[in-house]
Amino acid sequence: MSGSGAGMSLWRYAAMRIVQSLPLILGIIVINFLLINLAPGDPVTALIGDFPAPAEYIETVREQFGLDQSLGVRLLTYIGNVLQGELGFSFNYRVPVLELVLARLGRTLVLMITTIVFATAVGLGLGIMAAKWKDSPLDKFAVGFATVGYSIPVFWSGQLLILLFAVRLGWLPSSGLRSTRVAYEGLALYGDMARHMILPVLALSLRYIALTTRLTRSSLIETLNSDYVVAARTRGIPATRILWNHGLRAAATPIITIIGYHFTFIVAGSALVETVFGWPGVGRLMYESIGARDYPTLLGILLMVSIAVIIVNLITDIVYAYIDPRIKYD
Amino acid sequence: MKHARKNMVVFALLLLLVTPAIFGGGATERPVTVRDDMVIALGSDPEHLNPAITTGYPVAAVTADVYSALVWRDNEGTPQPDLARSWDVSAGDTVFTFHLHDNVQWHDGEPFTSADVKFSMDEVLSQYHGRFERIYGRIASIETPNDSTVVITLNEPYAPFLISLTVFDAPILPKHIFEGQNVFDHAATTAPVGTGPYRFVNWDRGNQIVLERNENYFGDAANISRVIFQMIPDENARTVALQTGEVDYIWGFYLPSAGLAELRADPNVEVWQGVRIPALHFLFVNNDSEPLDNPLVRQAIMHAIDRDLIVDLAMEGLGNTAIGPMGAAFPYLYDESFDLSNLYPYDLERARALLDEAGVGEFELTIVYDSGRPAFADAVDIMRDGLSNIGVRLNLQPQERSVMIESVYMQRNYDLSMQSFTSGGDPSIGYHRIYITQAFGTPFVSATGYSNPEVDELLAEAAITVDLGRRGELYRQANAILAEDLPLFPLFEEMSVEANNRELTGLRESLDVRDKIGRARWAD
Amino acid sequence: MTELRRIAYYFRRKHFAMFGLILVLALVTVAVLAPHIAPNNPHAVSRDRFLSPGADARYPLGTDNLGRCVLSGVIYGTRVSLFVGLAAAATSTFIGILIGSISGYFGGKTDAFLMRFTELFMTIPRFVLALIVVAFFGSGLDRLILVIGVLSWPGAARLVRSEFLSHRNLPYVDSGRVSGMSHLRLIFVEILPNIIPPVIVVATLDVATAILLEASLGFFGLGDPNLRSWGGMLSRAQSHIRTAWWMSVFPGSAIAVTVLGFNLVGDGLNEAANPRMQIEGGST
Repeated sequence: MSGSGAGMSLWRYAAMRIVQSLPLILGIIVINFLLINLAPGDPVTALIGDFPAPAEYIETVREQFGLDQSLGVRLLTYIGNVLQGELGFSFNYRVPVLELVLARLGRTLVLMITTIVFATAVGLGLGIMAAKWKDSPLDKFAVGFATVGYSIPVFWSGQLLILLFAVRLGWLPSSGLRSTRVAYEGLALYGDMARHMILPVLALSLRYIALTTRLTRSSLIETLNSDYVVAARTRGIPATRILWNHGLRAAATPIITIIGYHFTFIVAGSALVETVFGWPGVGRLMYESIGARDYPTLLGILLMVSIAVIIVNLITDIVYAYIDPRIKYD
Repeated sequence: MKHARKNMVVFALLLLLVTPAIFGGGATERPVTVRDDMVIALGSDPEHLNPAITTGYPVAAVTADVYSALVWRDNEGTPQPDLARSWDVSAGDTVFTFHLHDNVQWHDGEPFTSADVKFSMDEVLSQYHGRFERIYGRIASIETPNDSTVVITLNEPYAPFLISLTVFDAPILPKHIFEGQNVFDHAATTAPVGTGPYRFVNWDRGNQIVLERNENYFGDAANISRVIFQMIPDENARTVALQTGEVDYIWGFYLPSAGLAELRADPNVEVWQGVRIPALHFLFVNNDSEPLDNPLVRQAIMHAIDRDLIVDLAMEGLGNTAIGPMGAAFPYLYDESFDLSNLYPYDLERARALLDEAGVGEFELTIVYDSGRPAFADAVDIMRDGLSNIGVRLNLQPQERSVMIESVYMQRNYDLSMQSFTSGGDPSIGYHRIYITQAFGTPFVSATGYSNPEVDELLAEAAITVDLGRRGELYRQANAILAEDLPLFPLFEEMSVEANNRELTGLRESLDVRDKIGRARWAD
Repeated sequence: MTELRRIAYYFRRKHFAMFGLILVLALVTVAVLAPHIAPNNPHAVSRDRFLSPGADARYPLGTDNLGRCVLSGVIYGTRVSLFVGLAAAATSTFIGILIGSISGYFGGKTDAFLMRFTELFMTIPRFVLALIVVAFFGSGLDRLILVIGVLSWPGAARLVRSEFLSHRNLPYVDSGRVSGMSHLRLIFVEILPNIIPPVIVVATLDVATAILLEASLGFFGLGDPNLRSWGGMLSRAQSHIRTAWWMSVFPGSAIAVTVLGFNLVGDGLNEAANPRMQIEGGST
């Protein structure tokens, strides 16, 4: 790719984008920090139980968490710490934030990645079939499904899935990460976890299946109507081969767009889905941390999610540029 | 670990694609129970595991059987020997001599001595424990004449002194571990070393905490070898887990009232309800805010709150409304003559008449409550409907807990505020603070602005009166005044509820059900 | 004007778009007439709780855990959802127009700075931030609108910017500039009216997103407690999902239908405003 006519190599483009992200991250830290610290309410009150606490205790706690210093000092200290990879110490859980968030992040990522893979596969398939048999009943179904699926709130689809598969049919567990009592091992453990994942993943997938179906279908139709495909068709190349050779390449771009630019929505969606299904991931942690006024944890989650979004956007842009060299790196 | 997680992801993905076929059926049979453990549901992780530096519920829930204290309280509330095998009380009720067991070991093998008791009280509890701090102020000295004797001298008699020495108010920490250390971030604050029937094994945050039987326990060894505290944040999921047998025991604190009907109908589940440690739900009334400064208006509003409906709908029946200003669960302080359900029944006509008499028209009141308590939200919705019938508009302001604390206790920026206070096992521990004259700015005491020297005096005397007959008389006098003045609106006395696997027995041996879970056993 | 007329023409020919429009108009009617068509006071509690739909003629869609009428709650909830959705979308569109037009019109450093700023807002996880702000600062209706509006403008800003970029060097703008028109006049009087159609499309879709966001916050118990809202109803339904399905199904359907309505209208406008799609013949 280097030295292509676009004026800038892919690597230089990536490096430039990374450098550009740094002030972005700084801005995010400052905004989050100020917002959370200027909120009414005192985090110390969340830490002391429900009896009047000794004044000495309150002082000690305040000092211990550095809350006795001025806002500016705290902000600078925080930025300094973050630069050294220090996200601080959780008020609520009394462990380092990084450790806490990473432990939960794994569980959320399992949910998110499974959703992305599953939704992409289904949406792609549905979109391809809809485009191939345009205006057929299948196409009409796909279009209808995509439109409706896009309009249903994830937490409600979650409730409906629980109603159907857990309450009515009793096929699947309605919540949790795995069975509590039976200590499954090896394969059985994965199977048990997978069973717990089915409903949350389905709930979370609906919107992305809808989006992927829509975009796959419309970009395929666009490609199949394009001059070169029409030309290929007149040369007698089989329709299926045209679909695979030209159509899918065209569909790749919108799908990357969805994964990349809708990443924040998946983040929000998992917070909701984790609540509906009692999945102990970052979303739950965030919700608990709001209730507990756990500023360092909240900031840590916001920061890590933002950085994840930046990275995913960056990758999306680079892959985008790679797939479609016409895009100028600017 | 990292490798395992990666494999797990890949495998989960593969499985998911073929799942419906593989996992279609046979999902709901009860798992075979391994009957040598007991799973107790918690809502979320405790902040830490050091009961000496907080009065919060979940910390004590996990550590009540890891640590011990001088005494524990039986079902009647009577103090029983724990670390102290016996005690003598001096004639004037001020000198307590505790004789300790002398074969007690900490979980790390170090011997337990009277020095641990003195250290815990002098160095930790007195500074960091909300309830013990107040007791400590009444202590003149703590002496340790030898390794197995502790002598505590009080300034003056204090009726609830002995019952304030349980693991919930005065857990004994290991001196050899905490001495000279910062208790807040010491490792033993999250991985406790105690003297109790269970020892701490590990804590997988967000998932579970595991305890195992202490084979060197100085008392009767626990029946069940492992106790697992399982974090289940979703309240529905907790009740479902009990029904499917994944969880054996849920305390009222974590039991959503919404799921009770279903649990009561389940033959495998035992639902227990009753009053254990009395707790009062009430509305703080800002006595300085117009028109609430008028007693007639306060009485009118009390008449327009359908307290029975609140208990039946919002609390699923778990409450008693036939109470005086300090409830009715301590029989010695209650009398029908000041029962609020007799004095202020739900009566909109009477309420309107009282408002007319007070000469106030329609007005709006702001009610502040903790947004994290769904039952409060339901109760407030019921009150709003009732009050709208007498021309009082309730403006609902649910606030995140620490914001609520700020508005109610610090700034007193509220008209009404729904609260629940525990008695702590004795009215002088938990209820005096609601009614006595208080300086503003301290959370969890009276925020009403009410000040009645007569009440203050009666309650102060009741606290140091050990004779129950005389004590009750003082309380009844105070309650009669409070029922008339109505500085706040008592709603109901909370009834605790618990649910457990029916085959689990030996529960609730102690007044606070979190204590003595070592006595639980599986039915044969 | 002819442009709008042309869009209206194409719009009318799209069945799905007209269906969406009918849904939206019906919902607006329900919202306006709520006090007349709701069978009960939505806040009135009663001992007749957990009545299933049809069990009692007074409560066609049943009652909730406090014996409140679910149908009346759904009807009054329309008001909250539409009001928040429209007001928040108006707020975000307004901010978006302001930032996007300045950025696109002036270009250069102003543009670079404002686009960095926009990117910042696109990167911050919007829902998470909304949740924190509403939880800590309180959840009155005004605050909900403000939070949702302030967190949702980047889409509109980027669109307006790109439209301005393509207009800024057109002859009519150049001649205006030569004749000494002020920047303000050029931006708001000359260029802005020409880019109204795409802005309306984005604004319509923003209404749908805002309604979803409000419902999601309500689901976390962070709606305005003084009003019956769909998200709030679903939040309570979560605790009773195993016994009272109707507490979840009806408010949830209401959200889905409303969001669907605005999405269909937005899609229809988009296709009608975008001739290329016409040629393609692709519907949604």
